[in-house]
Amino acid sequence: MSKSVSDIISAMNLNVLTDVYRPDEMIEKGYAGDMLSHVMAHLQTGECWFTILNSMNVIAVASLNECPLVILTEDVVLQEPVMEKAKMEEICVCNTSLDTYSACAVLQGILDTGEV
Amino acid sequence: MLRSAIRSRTSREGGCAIEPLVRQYEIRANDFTHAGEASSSMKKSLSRLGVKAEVIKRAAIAMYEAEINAVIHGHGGMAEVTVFPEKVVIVIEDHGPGIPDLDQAMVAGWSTAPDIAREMGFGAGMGLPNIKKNCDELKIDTKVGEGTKVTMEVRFT
Repeated sequence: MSKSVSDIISAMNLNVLTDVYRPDEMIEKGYAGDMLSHVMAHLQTGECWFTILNSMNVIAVASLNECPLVILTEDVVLQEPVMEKAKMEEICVCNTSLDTYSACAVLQGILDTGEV
Repeated sequence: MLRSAIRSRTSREGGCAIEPLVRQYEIRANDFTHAGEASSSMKKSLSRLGVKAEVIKRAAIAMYEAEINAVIHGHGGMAEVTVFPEKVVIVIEDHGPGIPDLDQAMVAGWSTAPDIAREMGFGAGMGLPNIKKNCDELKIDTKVGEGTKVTMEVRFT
């Protein structure tokens, strides 16, 4: 089952750090990873990305992979220049206090049950 | 900061003049802030030309990895992207230390990235394997003490 970006933001109670640029884009699963080359190689269309990285390179990798939603875990935030870059590239970045494992589990629960 | 320049080359194939789009970018050593901008620019150019998204993604991944290698290992360098009607050719050349053992460097998981690069999420040892996986043609010319030239070709069909 898949859910829209806006539905996932709402259901996971994510804190939106940028804007939501593609609210209706559908998410089928998540991908968790902090090694950028692995993310480059494996992040697929229709996936949101969970990471604790918050550098400019996160935005570059998300943009190159057309990722509609980046979820920073453990309350990681973006510095202002990175925030500006995310807005320029129209990458929606959110954060959550959950750790990556827990955030992935919450997403999977939402996708499995279809409940928002 | 990346500098880019655009120029055209005229060549003749089968009697018809064609002008491939050529872009050049400067890649600065250890500039992680701007790393990836050349790849992003190339991606947007291919998108404007109507190249298939799947092909653009492959080219962007390959170029990004090579660009990052030049940032981390190559003391910076230059990137040149040439868009032909049927393919894109990307050349990234640096004047860094070169690769002493290319076969070893192509092994997934092998990395000599410094700590500062690892802290930023690089150094997984997937760069060259990712490049190889996403190119239709790959040529690496490297000489210890002189530098490395990576030539990547991605065909549109």
